[in-house]
Amino acid sequence: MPLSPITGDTKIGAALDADPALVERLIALDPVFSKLRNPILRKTMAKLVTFGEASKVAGVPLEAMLAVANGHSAPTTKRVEEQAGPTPDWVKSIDLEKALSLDVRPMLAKGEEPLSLVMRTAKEIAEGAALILEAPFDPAPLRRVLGSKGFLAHPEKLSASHWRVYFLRQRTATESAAPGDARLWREQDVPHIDVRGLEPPGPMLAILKLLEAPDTGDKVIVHHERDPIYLYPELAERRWTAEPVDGDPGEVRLRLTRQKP
Amino acid sequence: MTLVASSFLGGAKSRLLPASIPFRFFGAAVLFHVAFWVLLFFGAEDLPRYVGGQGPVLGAIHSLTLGVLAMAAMGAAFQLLPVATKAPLIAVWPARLASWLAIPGTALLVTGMTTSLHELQALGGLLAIGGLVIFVMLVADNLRRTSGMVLVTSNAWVAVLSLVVILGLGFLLIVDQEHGLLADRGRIAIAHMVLATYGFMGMLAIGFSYVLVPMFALSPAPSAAMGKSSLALSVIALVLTVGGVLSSGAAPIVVGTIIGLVGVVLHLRLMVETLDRRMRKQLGPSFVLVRLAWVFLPLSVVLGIALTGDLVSRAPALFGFAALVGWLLTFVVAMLQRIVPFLASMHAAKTGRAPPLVSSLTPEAPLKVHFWCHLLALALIGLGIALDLSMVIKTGVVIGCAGALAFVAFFAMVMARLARQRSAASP
Repeated sequence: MPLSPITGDTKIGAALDADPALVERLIALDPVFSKLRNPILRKTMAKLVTFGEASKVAGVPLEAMLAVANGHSAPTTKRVEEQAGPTPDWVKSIDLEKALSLDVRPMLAKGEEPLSLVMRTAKEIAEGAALILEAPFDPAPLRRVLGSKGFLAHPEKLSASHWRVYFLRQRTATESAAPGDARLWREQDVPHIDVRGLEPPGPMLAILKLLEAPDTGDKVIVHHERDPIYLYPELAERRWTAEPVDGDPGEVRLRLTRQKP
Repeated sequence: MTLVASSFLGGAKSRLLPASIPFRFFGAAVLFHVAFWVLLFFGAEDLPRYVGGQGPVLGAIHSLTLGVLAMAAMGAAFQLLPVATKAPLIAVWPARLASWLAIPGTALLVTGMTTSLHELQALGGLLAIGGLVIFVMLVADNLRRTSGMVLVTSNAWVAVLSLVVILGLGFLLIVDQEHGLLADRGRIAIAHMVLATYGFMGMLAIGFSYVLVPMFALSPAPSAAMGKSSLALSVIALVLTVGGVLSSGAAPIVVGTIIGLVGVVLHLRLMVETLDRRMRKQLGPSFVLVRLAWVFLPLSVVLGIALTGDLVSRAPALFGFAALVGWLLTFVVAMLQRIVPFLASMHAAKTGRAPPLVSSLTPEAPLKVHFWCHLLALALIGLGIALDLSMVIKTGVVIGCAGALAFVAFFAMVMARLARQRSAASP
């Protein structure tokens, strides 16, 4: 039975499990989705990839994909050309000779699933070391997965069928961004920091260090065990604001936002 | 702060006590600070040779110890300790009750000591003891319910236990004033003083240093292992020294004091390492005062050793001055000038906006005046005691008093700015 309604956050795999005919409708929308005929890819990557991410990877407008997935006719749309952002400083500082390179294009061309190889390779990457991945598209889901394991990621489009993605395993909190045992990761390019269990002033320090890191961006999600009341004056001094977002039971989760100058 | 966050912050403020609780203690400390200098002015002639006895010097000492140091400790402990231990105060009303007893009690006690009115001393002493007993019970209850922040809590435990003994000894001294029960009142008074300086206030200052210094300097928490070693040595030193004082044994006093010096050096090494690892590069004048206090801490212990061997003339006065004014008062005013605007900032955000900048709540001019006055007063009074020059002492005291008045102005201006922020933020 088809999932309804399918949104940008719905996993492709879940939608295909519920509605196997969706594969052909997506291929009809854009031949790029013919890869979904590969049962291995459907069992692996499709389980991880959301419609929103697939839209970016394939360059197909999300609204068209959602219309097809929800049983409507697809609107007339143009392909979306995904543009990578400016090259961050940490990418420029990567020692290319020491970085580990992995080209998954031949595997994908043969219809093989590269995810497990990438994950095994990433596991071997030392803190502060880099992995450079060559892929035929921007692997947004992979960036998300590795982001949750402490990697920074930056995609670079070299041609229509060649993307280079830089992954840098961040040093553990003790050594770089956060003192103590704060856990750092990225989700959808937003850094998350979990300071639960740290003794004061460890949480405040870890958070402030992250805010002052050059590649942090304008938003940070903080996972705390209590309201960090002593943090707020420090945030104000640094022109950051805090607002609560939904978290796990017993958790105080905050979204910190850098104020515009 | 967004609207959503405002309601959230309203909840967050539940971890903050009502502003009136910490600020009433800090306000009292600021006023007793002025009283200390005023009383010291009248006792300036006696100060270089002072070894005990009723009068303005005793009044000044208690205005400083109970009035400034204990009040600041109570305000800070009620607000900061629950945050450090992650265990809220069991209730707010006992903190209020403690203030109603301790603040007027200290004022009466100091007046009684200065004017040698024993009934006033007894009444004031009982009230102050009542307030401090409530403080002890609240803090002990809070410490009992936590397992974290081992350096802060273990130092606080020693401070609390010391305070219990101090209060007992103080009560004995007050009763003895009327009824002459004690065979050697002097030894009890010295034990009371040593425990008050290094046991209660000292341990509290050292314990809070482990959270306040990293918090204001933005440094990682200090090494627990070295902090525990420092604490263990300090406890041994206290037991030996107080035991030696009460039993008239010079050897345990000397050994205890030397062990205490090693404990102090470990603590200071830890603090220097903490500052070396700080994120905040500009610490401002308050940390100049903190560093100065850290110089006076080992100096006071060295003077304590000199005191036991009668090695330095006017050692008792120099020792008391180095410990109480040089170390503790300097440290406490340095911390107060950071804590007061910081707390004010959090309370100003109560109505749901982003907290005002701490810097916008901190009037710099009175702090500058206080800073230079305090430094000058320390130098002149130390010199005056060493050379037995009462005019130099009096000049130093007048300058110190001017600094204390500037500190009153600082406190009043922060409170006024807080009131303005809150009224501007209210709907």
